[in-house]
Amino acid sequence: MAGNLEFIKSASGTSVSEFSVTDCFSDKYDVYKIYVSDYKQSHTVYPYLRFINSSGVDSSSNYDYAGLQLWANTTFGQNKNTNQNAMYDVLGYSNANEPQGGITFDIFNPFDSSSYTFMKCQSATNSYQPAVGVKSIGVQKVAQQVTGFALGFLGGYTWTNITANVFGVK
Amino acid sequence: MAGSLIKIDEEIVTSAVATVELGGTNWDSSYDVYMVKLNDLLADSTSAGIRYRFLASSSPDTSANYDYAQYRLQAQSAFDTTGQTNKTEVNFTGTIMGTTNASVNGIIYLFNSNNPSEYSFATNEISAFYYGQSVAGYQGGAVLTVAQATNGIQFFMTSGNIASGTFTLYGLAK
Repeated sequence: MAGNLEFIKSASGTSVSEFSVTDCFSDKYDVYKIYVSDYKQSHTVYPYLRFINSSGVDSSSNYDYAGLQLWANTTFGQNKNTNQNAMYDVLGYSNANEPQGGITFDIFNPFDSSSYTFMKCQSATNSYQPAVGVKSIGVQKVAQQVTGFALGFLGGYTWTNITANVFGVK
Repeated sequence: MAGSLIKIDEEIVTSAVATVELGGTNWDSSYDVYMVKLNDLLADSTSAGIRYRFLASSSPDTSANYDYAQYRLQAQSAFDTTGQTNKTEVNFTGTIMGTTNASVNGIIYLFNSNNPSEYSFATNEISAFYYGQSVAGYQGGAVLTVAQATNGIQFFMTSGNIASGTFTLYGLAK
């Protein structure tokens, strides 16, 4: 019997500030699961998430997000904001150039031009605190057709290497 | 190779309905764990919330035996928690829905459904839009404290109807 979690594409990058995965969303699925399981970053900092539309990476100030940072040895932290040009602090905080854990996020309604695009994320990363992870949600408050996503950094920081796998939930 | 996420049932709502049920006579008891996908759910009135109950023998179990605990992430207000015991339904969204763009999206996992000697459990991760505000979502879980088999889930609104959206039930094959 065929399954309903279908592999769409894998993408990799090295020494890139903004890692874009293009043309992975279509009218074939309404929900997507994305797994980032092999990555290192040049600096100890949070990456951001942006969506890609027909004009490229969308950095308009329409992103709202809320994230809970789970730390093993101190009080959990919170990050939230509205009307930002990306979803910051929602993917997990990682040490520079150390092997990382994993990030998984779900994207809802990206290709529906009449709906906002939503996401939810869970991650487990290797940071200066032991066993840190993030649970987060976000929305881009634009009813538009989203075809891909980008993971990047401010300040010229880069992904040393990164691989993302995209699946559709049919 | 066969896939491991198998679609069992789906309801696509395009005109207002009071309830949506997944499973029931369409239930497939072959699985230990089930996944429910909620996509782009909208209400026909504002400031409403969506709730769920389990199905037992294909009928919603309305007994006051639901316990749940939720942690709410939200972009525009402080995060908060809610927990209840002995309720007749599970609150997994708060009262947030609207008629346009203020949709509910998320994933619910169901556990122990087919075991008549165990309680039925669920976890939920929701990314929704608090009507007139911003993104918000409950992360949590629930249990029906009745040792019985369950065979599905029913969704309904706190007021008004479900206007649109897609509800899909999957089994996770071993």
